[in-house]
Amino acid sequence: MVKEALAPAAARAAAHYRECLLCEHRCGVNRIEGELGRCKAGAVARVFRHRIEYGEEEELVPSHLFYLSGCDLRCKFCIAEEKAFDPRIGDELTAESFAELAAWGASQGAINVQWVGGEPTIHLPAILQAMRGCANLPPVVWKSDFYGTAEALALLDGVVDVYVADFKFGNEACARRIAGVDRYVETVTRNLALAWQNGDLIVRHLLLPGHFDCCYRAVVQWLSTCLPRAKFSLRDGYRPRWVARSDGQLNRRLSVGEIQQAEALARAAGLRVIK
Amino acid sequence: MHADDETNLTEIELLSDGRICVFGTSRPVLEILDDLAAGQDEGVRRRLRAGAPPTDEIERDTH
Repeated sequence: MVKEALAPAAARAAAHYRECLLCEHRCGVNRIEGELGRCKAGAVARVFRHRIEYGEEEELVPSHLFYLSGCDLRCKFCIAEEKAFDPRIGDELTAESFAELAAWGASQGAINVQWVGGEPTIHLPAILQAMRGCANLPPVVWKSDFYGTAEALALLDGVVDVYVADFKFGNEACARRIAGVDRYVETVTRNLALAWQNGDLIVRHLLLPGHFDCCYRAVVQWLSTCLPRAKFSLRDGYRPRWVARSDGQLNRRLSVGEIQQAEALARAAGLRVIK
Repeated sequence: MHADDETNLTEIELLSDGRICVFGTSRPVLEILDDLAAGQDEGVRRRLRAGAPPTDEIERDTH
C-alpha cells in the first residue's frame, strides 16, 4: 500500500537534518555537516537488528521489528545497551534494503513493520524516505519513547497505523535520574494526546522495581484521567541491564506480588488493559 | 543492508519462583511454550493463532 502522506512528510522531514528539532532536546544541529547533538546521530540511519517477533501485544503479532541505533534518552535499564546509544552501529537504512527486508518479513507472516530503537524519531527523515520507496508497504507500527517534538510527531500523521508509546516515568525527578532528560512528563503526555487523535495508540509501561508510587501510580492516574480509552499494556518482564545492574533500586527483578499489585491498580482505575 | 536477522535468537530465564521469562519470541519458541503448558496458556495460543504460517511452511504442507 502506498500512503499519500509519505511523500510530503519525507520532504518536510529532510529539513531536520540541517536543523534538528526532532526530539525535545531541540539541539538545532546541522547533521549533514557533521554537527552532533545529544543523540550523536548523523544523517545516516542504521539498522542493527531485525526480527519477526511474537512477543509483542497480541494484536501486533507477528511483527517485523527494525531496530535503529541511536537514542535521545539514556535509560539506565536499557536492554539494547551500547547498540541503542551508538548511532554508528548497524547497516545503513536505504529504500532498497528496507523494501527487500519488508518483503521477506511479509513472506514470513509478519502483519506489519515496526520501527524501534534506540529511538526511531531521531531518524525520522531516513525512515520516511525508506518507506516512501516501498511499493508494498505493510501497516506501520511506531514504537517510541515519545520524547519527540510535536513537529516530528506531525510528520507521522497519515503514515503510522499504530503508535506504541513507552510511558516510562511518572515524574520529572525519576526521568532525570534514570534517563537523563528534563521536561519528560509534559512532553510525553502532550505527545500521547496528539497521537490519540491521529491513530491507534497503545501505551506501554515497563514496571520498574521501587517505582510503584512515584512512576507507575502516576502513569495510571494520568491515563485514567486524560486518555481512559487508550489501550494500556503493562510490561512486567523487567530485568536489570546496563548500568541498572549497579543501581541499588533498579538492580533486582520484580516479585510476583508487585506485578499482581500493578495489575490490580490498572483494573481498579478502569484502564483498557491489553496483553 | 545486512543487519542481523535475530528472529531465532531467544533468551530464556528460569526464575527461582517458577516463572519463565522469554526475551525475543519466535514462532518455534511459542510452539515449545505451548507444548510445555499443554495448550493451557491462552496468551500463547492467541499469539500462535495470530500468526499466519510462513510461506515456506505452506509450500511444504502442500507437497
